[in-house]
Amino acid sequence: MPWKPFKTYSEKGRHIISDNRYMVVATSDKKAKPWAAPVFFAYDSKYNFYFLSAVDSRHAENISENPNVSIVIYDSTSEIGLSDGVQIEAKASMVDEKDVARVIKIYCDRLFPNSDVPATQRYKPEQYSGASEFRFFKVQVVQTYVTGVDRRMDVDLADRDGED
Amino acid sequence: MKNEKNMDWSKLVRECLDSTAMAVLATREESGVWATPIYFSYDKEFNLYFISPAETRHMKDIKRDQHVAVAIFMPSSASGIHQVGLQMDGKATMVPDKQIEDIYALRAKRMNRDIDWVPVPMEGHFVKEHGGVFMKITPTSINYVDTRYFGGNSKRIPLEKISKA
Repeated sequence: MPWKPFKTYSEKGRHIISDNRYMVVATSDKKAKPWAAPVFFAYDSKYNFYFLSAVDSRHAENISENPNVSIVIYDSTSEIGLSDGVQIEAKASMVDEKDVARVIKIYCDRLFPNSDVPATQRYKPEQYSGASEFRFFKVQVVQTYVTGVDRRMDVDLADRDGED
Repeated sequence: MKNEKNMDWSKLVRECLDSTAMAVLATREESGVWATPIYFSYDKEFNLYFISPAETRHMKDIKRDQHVAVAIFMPSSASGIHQVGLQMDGKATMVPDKQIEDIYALRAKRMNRDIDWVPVPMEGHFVKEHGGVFMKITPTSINYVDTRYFGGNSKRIPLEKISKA
């Protein structure tokens, strides 16, 4: 990510999130053993994050045992010493069946922004519901931190005060 | 789908570790877990090394519980073409004083930097000039993700094969 001045840490956080499509979700099992998994992500206007995973993946099983997760979003291509990131404390859960079609739209808009293929044709809601092998997961932010060199700032991603 | 028996695991792991200097470290907390981006270097046995100030949240977590997890993904994964990465379970320990110079040299080489200062081991393994602690992560398991070969499934890498390579 090219260096760019930001008026607020919230703005910087939003920029990091919009510029990256991969995040690492850290989860823990019932014995509290940590696990970290990279996933593609999408997010809505309220900064709820969404990802698609196999239900029997280790991180998905962990989420069913403990919804408290932590997320890192950063630019893996940045030069050493120049990388900024967003760290998030959150609660994760499987997306409710009634919301699956809406989440598929958000997910496809993010990952295939220029595609003419309708989202629910690419990912049919019934294939990501019930006892499906793959399900969408929602991550609701509890606290967000924007990291920089030698500091970490508490931010509210929705806070646009001080910005034009 | 590639035949796992013919996989050169060491080469694949090294390819991933060489592709980026950044990893995400997951540590245990009271109610769950905490994730932190770190710069890492690694040795020929695929132990990872990083430096962090002792007062950081993840270092306090490690003091309580040495079990950690690490995720590393190749930058090309972010483009969405292929997903290639590593997921590790491991144990985090402080690097002994006598090894700090070697580990620092490893880090300097990794960062393409000259060794512009000699780290001074202090009580508690602090390095005075940097204000940080050298930490080692010894992998206890490594999972390999590579959509080029295995679709969306991860493969457990036999550690005995890569550590002897």
